[in-house]
Amino acid sequence: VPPTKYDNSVYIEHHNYDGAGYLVRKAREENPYVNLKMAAIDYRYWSVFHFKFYETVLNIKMKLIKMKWIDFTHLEDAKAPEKKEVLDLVDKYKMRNIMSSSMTGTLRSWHNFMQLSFMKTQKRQFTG
Amino acid sequence: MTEGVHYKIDFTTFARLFGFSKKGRDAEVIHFEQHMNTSMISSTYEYEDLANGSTTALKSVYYVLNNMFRETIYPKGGSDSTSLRRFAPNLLARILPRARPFSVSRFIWFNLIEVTESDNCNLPYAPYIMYMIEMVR
Repeated sequence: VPPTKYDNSVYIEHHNYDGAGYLVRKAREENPYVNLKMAAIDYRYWSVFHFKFYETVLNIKMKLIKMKWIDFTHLEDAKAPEKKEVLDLVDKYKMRNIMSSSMTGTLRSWHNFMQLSFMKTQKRQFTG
Repeated sequence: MTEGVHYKIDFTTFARLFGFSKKGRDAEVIHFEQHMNTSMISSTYEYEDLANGSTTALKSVYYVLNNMFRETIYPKGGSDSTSLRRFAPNLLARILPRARPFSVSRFIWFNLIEVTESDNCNLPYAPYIMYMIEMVR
């Protein structure tokens, strides 16, 4: 199929893709790279679908999950009875690399969260 | 951002990038299973009667591991942090003693596919995707 160029000055569909699963699936079935990149929209996007999907789905704060990383140094130093079993299981599946900060250094640390978890588990042991 | 450049990556490269071996890649896939009920993983709970789908009654080890999964390989959105949803019980079942090993890389890969095809899921793995983009370009 020869590449066709959009007439950018004429018409841009405005869809709200939030909650519109059928429209998303239908749009994803098409290969956007058959057409040339649209010049009338933000340079980061290839097509109107990409642009509107970002605007109406991805750019909504609640839709993006904030990822965290695990501070294994802190975990190894923690005085928790279950830490060896936890670390053994993490190493068994070689998940330490992907969970730790070595790969994704810009993530928020799970350090404080980890402290809370162990406090909770230790407390539970005391209370039975 | 990619500034309009189209990047692509295959599964093997993806798994290698994140440090998973061939053995890990070829292990069983959790997404081919049905969603497990928490009553099927009652041994992960302090008391089996408390296996009600909540994380609060999990044994310490599984509680901590579930929290770690929830922040990394199986991130969860929303405000309810105390429920085991979708494949979370399956994950816990796979880390029980004597459980068959599963493929972590395929788990993330299939989860990515599932999320990209659904408009209802919250969108995870942004740093991992950014890392992939930076590595393959």
